[in-house]
Amino acid sequence: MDLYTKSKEAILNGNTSLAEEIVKKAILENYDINALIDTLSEAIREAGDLFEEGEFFLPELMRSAEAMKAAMGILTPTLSQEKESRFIGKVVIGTIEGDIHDIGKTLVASMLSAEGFEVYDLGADVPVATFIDKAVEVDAHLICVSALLTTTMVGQKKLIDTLNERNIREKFKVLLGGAPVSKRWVEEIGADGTADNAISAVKLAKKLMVL
Amino acid sequence: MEQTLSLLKILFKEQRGNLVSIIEDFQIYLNDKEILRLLRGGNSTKARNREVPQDLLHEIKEMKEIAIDLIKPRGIYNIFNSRNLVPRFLFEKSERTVLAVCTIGENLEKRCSEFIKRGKLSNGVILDAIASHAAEETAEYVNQKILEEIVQETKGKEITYRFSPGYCKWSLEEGQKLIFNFLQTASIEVSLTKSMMMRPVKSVSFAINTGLEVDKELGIKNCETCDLINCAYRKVK
Repeated sequence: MDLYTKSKEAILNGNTSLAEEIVKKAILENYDINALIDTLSEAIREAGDLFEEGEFFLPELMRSAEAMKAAMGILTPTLSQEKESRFIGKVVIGTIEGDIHDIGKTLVASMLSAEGFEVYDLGADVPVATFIDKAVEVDAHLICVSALLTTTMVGQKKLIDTLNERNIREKFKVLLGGAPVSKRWVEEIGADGTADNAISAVKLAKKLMVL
Repeated sequence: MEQTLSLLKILFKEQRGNLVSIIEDFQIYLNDKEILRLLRGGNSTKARNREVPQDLLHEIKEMKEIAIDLIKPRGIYNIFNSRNLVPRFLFEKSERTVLAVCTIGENLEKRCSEFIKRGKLSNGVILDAIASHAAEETAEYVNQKILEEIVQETKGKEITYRFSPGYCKWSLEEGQKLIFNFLQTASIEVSLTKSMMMRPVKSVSFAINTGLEVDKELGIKNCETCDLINCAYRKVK
């Protein structure tokens, strides 16, 4: 089995230490880093597909994301000029104020990061102004706002309204997440989309980046 | 369900002139099948025949060992005259209504957050699924105990399934305000935030209607007909 295939297996098996070992070896032995990153990216996408198909359990997907993060942590410092193309876009993500549900949003953040987005995770219970200020500061492409309660969903509307008031709505794509969020809600408040799991969220985020 | 009944305590406390019941010191059984159901991705039925990997089962076992010491299940309930309760469409056919809140406490939730913050996402999502399952088992246990306690009072009457704010057209805000106004939940260390969220998060609030002609459809939590299609606990895909 060649090193590329091994690296793919390491990600799919969620084997962090093996993934680290392989990328260190690749750097030392002057392997084509770009090709290696392409292979790793392919592996994390495959893990996502397996999860969406019901083949993978969530912890398996998370282990793949952990392995990907560890591998990229070693590879990124070597990339500065080489692999700018892996960067997809900048995302500011968080759970809206009044809501402390954290896990769903963290999973989306991890998968976005594993796919090549630069992610700014603001955590939970985040005020609208903090979302917007951060998005402006880092010149984000996407703002992802999670709300798990019907009572906190109004914060998602407040965020869109505030972007409109500040005349910066067009600068960002806004994705909504959370159990009570429906397509109707997305349309009603003028957001750009929603997804029902972390993998669909990543696919949607990538789709929006090319629009 | 395995429960250590000898440990069960039902305390009766005076609150605002009412005698409320607190159920505590009981154990709940954690079922791997349900934990795996909560962790299963996707909606393909053909992939569901895949054997569960041994390392995942091992990780779940390990996380259950951590969780079991951190789960402190308890509940509080009282019975009210349904005439005093709103919205009327939910309670108009009922004579007496049980209002209840139960929780597994905050310790497991905290440990779960610690794992997530340390980047141990796999451990974190397993603990979260265990916590969700434990909260539902706690609600089921408290529900059963309530039914046993009110068996005399409800003889010859109908009883609904438990139903919770946020479901069955009962708005989260209205339902939580009602339940938390009537029950002093500080006794079981559960509080309500301004956005009607319970702290600890893994808590369940519910009502049960009783009477000669209750509307039994009200309490049926039917995933097939529920609007919350993205709900993490949805049992149909």
